[in-house]
Amino acid sequence: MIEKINREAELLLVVGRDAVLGEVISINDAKFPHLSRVIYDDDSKISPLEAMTRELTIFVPTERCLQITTVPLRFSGGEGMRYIALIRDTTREKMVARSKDEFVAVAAHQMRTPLSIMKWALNGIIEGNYGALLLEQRDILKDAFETNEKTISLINDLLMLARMEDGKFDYTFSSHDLSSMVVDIVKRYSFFAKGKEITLTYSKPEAGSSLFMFDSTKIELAIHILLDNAMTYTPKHGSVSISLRFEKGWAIISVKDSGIGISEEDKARLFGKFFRAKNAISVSPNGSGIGLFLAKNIVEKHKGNIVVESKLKEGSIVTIRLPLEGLAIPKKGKMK
Amino acid sequence: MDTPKTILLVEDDVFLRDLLAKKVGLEGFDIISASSGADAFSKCGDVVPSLVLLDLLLPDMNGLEVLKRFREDERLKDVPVLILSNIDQEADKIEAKRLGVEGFMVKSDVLPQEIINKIREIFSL
Repeated sequence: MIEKINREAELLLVVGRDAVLGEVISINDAKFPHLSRVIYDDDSKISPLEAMTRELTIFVPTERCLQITTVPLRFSGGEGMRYIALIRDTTREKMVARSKDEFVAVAAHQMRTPLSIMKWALNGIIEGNYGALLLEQRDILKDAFETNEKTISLINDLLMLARMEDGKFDYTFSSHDLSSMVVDIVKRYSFFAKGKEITLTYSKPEAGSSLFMFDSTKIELAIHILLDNAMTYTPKHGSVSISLRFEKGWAIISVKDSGIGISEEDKARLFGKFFRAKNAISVSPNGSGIGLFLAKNIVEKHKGNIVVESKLKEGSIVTIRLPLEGLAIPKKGKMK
Repeated sequence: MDTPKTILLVEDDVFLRDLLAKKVGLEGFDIISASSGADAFSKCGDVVPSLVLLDLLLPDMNGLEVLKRFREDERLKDVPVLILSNIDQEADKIEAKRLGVEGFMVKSDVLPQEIINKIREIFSL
């Protein structure tokens, strides 16, 4: 039975105080449809034993986004349960978030389209689809192609960052074989390694299953970031190795390189957003400084950790540890 | 010999359309190009394509709307569709998957050859 309702709730739910006070509201109540949806959740339950917050959209007649927090009030005198429903009108912030999403999507399209044209056109010319090229012409076009690729990669990093910060970087946890995923990634990098004359090796885990619950797209991205960095900052004829092992309930992925290394001073800031070490800028001026920030975020969403050991001019080892027990896995398999 | 496969390429950017059409043609497929949703349906008046390469941001309608209309059309409902878009919002990917697409590729992330490989995979060639 409705005992109290304030003026704002009357306006928001289009109900009159005189009409509603003392009324018992039923599920799908035809007379008070909006009030009914505030009281009953989607499972038609009236309310929980502890405070619960949920989102609700109603049309009165325009769209209104509401956040409903239902709090049970307990009384010692045996008066039974009472509930208070706090309604927050989130319409404006939802609209702003939606506009921002649309802006990011359109900006992505506007930036990616000319880059796609460059990519496909240069690739077609380099492949000889438009006639034979002199060696020197081909080399120049290959450099242009690589520069374009770096810009695409930068745009992708910025988009991922925007999504992550907007809470749009959804995580979907399911059972995957981490070892076969690493094998596939290494295969893709072997071409790159060959081109740069870097020895790339993979050390597999000892026999046993490497199946466990994680978000495969995100972990793949994190491993890509580590390998990409190792390849970029390791000079010609150097070595990069990746290993996977399982120890005491953890999957441990290490990427070791014989690259430029990281100074003690820079280690502390390495996982910060947009941070780039001076020696890294001199090797690769176009990096975004987002990769390790993203990788750390991804690993921590899995309740894992990421650490770096390094010596300047000798190389680095970046290690990701992921728990095999689903510490991070939410009940419905998704989280933001 | 098998009849050549006909691929409908729905892409509003003339440069991208020409670049991909050339590559697809060089690989031995017949290619029909359309620059909008309406143009795509008009081109399907004469022929049922073996595959549609579909962009999402088109001048007259969203590519997902084109896809829905394909699925509702008795003649076209079983035509495989591969999305090629530079918009890769999760919601679009989920909706495209729900409508049974063969794949969702971001144009700036793939080379024309990777699209050809995917086409061959779809046709089991």
